[in-house]
Amino acid sequence: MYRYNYKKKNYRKNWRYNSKRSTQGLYYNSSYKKSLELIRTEFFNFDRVTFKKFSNFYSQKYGESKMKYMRQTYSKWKSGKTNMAKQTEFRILKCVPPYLSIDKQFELISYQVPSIIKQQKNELIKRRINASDLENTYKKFIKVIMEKEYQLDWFVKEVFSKEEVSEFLIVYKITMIECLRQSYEQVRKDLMEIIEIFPNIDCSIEFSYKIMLLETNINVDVFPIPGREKIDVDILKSNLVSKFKDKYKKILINHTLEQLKKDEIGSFNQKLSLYDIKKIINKIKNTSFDQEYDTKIIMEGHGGNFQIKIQRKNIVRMRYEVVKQTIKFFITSGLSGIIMYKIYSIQNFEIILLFGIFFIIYLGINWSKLNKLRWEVKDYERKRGERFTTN
Amino acid sequence: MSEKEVKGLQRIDIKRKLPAGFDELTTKEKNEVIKKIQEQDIEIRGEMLRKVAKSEIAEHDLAVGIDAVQRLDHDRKIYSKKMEGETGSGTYELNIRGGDTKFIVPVLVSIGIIIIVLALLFH
Repeated sequence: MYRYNYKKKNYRKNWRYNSKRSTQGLYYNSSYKKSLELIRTEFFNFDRVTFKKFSNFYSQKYGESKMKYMRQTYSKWKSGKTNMAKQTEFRILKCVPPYLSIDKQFELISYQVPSIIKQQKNELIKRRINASDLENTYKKFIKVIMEKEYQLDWFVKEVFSKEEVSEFLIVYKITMIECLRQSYEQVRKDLMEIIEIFPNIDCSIEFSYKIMLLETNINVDVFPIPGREKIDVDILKSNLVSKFKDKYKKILINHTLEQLKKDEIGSFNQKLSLYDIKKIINKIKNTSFDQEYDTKIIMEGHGGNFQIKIQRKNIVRMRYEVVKQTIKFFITSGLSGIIMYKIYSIQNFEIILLFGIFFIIYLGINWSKLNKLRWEVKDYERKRGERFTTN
Repeated sequence: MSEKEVKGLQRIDIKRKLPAGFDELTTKEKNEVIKKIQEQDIEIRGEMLRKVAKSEIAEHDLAVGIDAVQRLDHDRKIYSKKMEGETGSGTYELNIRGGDTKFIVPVLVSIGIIIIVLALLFH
């Protein structure tokens, strides 16, 4: 019973402490959990010399009594017999990193990347953009990244120097901006080249495009696409001076190689897509004039995916369907009227009501079919008139 | 393996693909970068060939499907053919419909018969 109460009390105490901290955004995010896990693992694997150095540092920072408690409880924490108090956990988090290898320190700061991506995601989301606004949108996104003040976990600023944090963020921003610059070039090239190959045949064309990097749809409201081929940005300067400079150099080189690979694959995809579309169009061009076709082509471009719907309908057949449906509607209306008149003479209101409802539903269905057919004709003629519509 | 030998064997324009800051790297790092570029290039070429082959097959299938529709006896028949395929760069769906639309006469005859029957019934 005593044990139970003790645990409950501690739980409540910790919960209050945690809730207070969680409101400051210090807990419950994956980067913090990962960092803590790394620190704990490294802390419990310290060799004797490192542990001695660490103990001295701990003592200087928090006093000898705290250090003694830490040394006494170390084995219990390690075996899991005793749980580490949150306050001690914070202290460990602050004091262990200087005694880690450069690789582990870099791993620790790298855990912040998902949290940074999450923070910028909301500002780079746009469900749909107009092609006329393509350049401005990308420039705006680049500006957002350049000026964004990212919130990092609380211990990062205490563990790493200002220069180290700043360098980390600059390298991250450079890679993101490069991705955006490349995406802009690819998307613009895709739109310019794909739209130009649409055939001069009697059909309606619907075209939609989704940017791969941003997962945003483009509404092609203008052609040719305005704006320059490339976006000129005063790229952030990366004077790599911190202890992580070699790591950053490696990251930047790997990023460039990865981008190069993506660019080559994308460029090839675009060429192949154009080839495939031309071939499909040539084949459907060979169909006879009274044949109807619906074609849906989904292809991968350089910077995004596009979908093309090419449709040809037999306008004579469509009009014939409208006439047929109109005749059907008038005949059924006339017949319904005659039948209702005959039933009325019986003077049985229940039967009148039953037939009345039946005829109203039947005529309503016929009327909606007729309207649908008329709308299909109008829509097809509008699409043909506009040459192609965009989605 | 020197850079010249690499160029001769793979016929890759390595210089064009070198990343910024390449000159500042150590010889070991430079070799690693060149090796990675070569590996990427081989991977891309393989992928390209696979995709081109897929596109060629899809093109052939489409041609066969459309030819089959064109060879149909179109008189007094309504037909619909759906074709689906996967090219190297994506997918396509094609649905062709057609046939004789000059069947207004039988429809009008049927309607006329119905009207006459109803008129006889109610008179």
